[in-house]
Amino acid sequence: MMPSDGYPLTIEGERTDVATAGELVAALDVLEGQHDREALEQLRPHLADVIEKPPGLQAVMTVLQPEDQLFLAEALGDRLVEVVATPQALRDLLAALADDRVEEALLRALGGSGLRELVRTPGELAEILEWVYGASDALVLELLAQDFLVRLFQTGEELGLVLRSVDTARQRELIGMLGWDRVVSLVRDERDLAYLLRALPSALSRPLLEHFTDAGLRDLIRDECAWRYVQRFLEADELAYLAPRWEAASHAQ
Amino acid sequence: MPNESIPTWTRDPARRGSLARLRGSKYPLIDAHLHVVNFVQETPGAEALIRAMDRANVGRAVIFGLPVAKMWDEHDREPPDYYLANDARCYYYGGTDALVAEMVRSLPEEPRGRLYPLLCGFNPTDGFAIRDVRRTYEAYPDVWAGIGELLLRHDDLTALTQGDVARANHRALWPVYEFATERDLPVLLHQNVTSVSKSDHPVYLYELEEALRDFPRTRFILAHCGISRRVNVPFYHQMVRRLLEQYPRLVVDYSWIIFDEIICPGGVPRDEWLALTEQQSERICLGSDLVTRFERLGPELQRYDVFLDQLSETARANVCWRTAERVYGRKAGEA
Repeated sequence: MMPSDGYPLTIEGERTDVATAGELVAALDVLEGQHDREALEQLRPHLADVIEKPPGLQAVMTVLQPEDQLFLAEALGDRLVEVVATPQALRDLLAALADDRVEEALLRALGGSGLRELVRTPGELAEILEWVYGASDALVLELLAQDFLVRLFQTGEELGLVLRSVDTARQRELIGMLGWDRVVSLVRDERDLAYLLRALPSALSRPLLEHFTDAGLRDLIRDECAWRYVQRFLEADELAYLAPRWEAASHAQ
Repeated sequence: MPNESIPTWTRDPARRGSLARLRGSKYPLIDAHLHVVNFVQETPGAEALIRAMDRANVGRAVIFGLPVAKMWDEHDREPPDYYLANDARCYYYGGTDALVAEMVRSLPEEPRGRLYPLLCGFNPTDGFAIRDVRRTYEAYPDVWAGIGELLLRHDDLTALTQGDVARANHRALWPVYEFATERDLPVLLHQNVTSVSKSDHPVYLYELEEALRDFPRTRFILAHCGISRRVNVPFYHQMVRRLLEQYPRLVVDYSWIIFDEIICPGGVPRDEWLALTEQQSERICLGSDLVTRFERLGPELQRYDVFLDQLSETARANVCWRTAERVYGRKAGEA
């Protein structure tokens, strides 16, 4: 339990008590950034209690140099997920960090269980992935792991949302983790198909279309109205491939 | 009204860091300009305020909420934390006064007596403004020491606030000024002296002067001498001197960026401002203009020391304490 005045911090003989993230930031500021690590080390056992909530973490992270951000992520350790608390807070934190190493350290400190605790919906995952790039994208997917991801998505639209937040290489990885059969099963109607297609480059949209049988396409795009809807989203090469298949499928019906 | 994201006190790696700055000014003072509620109408609370005042050598404080609240627009993914956080509009929020009053009432008598709360939660462009002022004043008659900070001409905030442009000479304020005069309540105004793009002359000063002229018995305080971000005019100290000489009840506060940009740029006090302060110290008080973030009281107020050091003892005592005590120190029931 925190002492009523907070935890003592002594630098060059001057002492203050730190009870909140705001007080910690003020202390770091008046120290002109010359004692950030020393202050963090002194308060290390209590940092989670002092920082407490997402705005506090954001405020402290923002004033630290990357090396000290790494230190803080590590120091918070198991309690990092409790401090981050929400997927929106993780999104905001990642958005504010501009160093791949820090983002990676933060994600590793959260770990798979921490990330799975935070992320409840595909929208939340998409917003988190929006602010990390390259290896960190891959790390998020790796930490969340295949089982979680397979269960996370219920529709093609949801998967499309997440695919839009990662680059093509990571799209391949994610689709690989889910498997084409699972991806195809998420597509329930013309809207799902359209949204998923537009989240993918043609290198991946074509394989997606190829995984549908003619009967499957007929079930997805049930009538002329649905077909007109899908057409609005198609690139020329996709239209050239899909139009004859859909016409054949609809005539067969 | 400072930007919470851009504090007046910033890091300088060339300066020796010291926790001593958290202890505030070496001179005990009254913070004559402190928002205890932020733009999303949240407050760290009374205990946090008193704790911060104790740590920062602030004996008393003139406190108030914010008359406007920032909307969290339906289409904004992230909630705003400041009025400039995004393009969402602000609206007049009467509840701010209840937050302040309840906060004050939650304190025991001794710390409560260290606070001079002002009411501000009404629309200063609405003919019903005086009704709302009366209601709030009568709902918490034991609380209020004055009215303010009224956010009138305020560059970006004016542009973002729904409704008419608030200005010191808006006729909706005339009954409010009369009310304040009848009860001898001070009225703290934020009125930019000019617009952002007109730095060669003070285009909005006449609006303030119209109110000062029409209400010669009202005790007005011009917040941070009418400055704001990107607002400046030539002859600033002469302008302030003229206002103080022309309007004998007018008081100004030195708070926020008037200090860093005009009075003491680069940490060096300007002679003309030292002279003005010596001559008019009974009409000048000091404030932090923090918007919550009470833990920054120490460094915010400590930065005034370089200026205060060069004043005579009498002038310093006036600026640090006596002027604010005289202006705000009489509570409603005691006036």
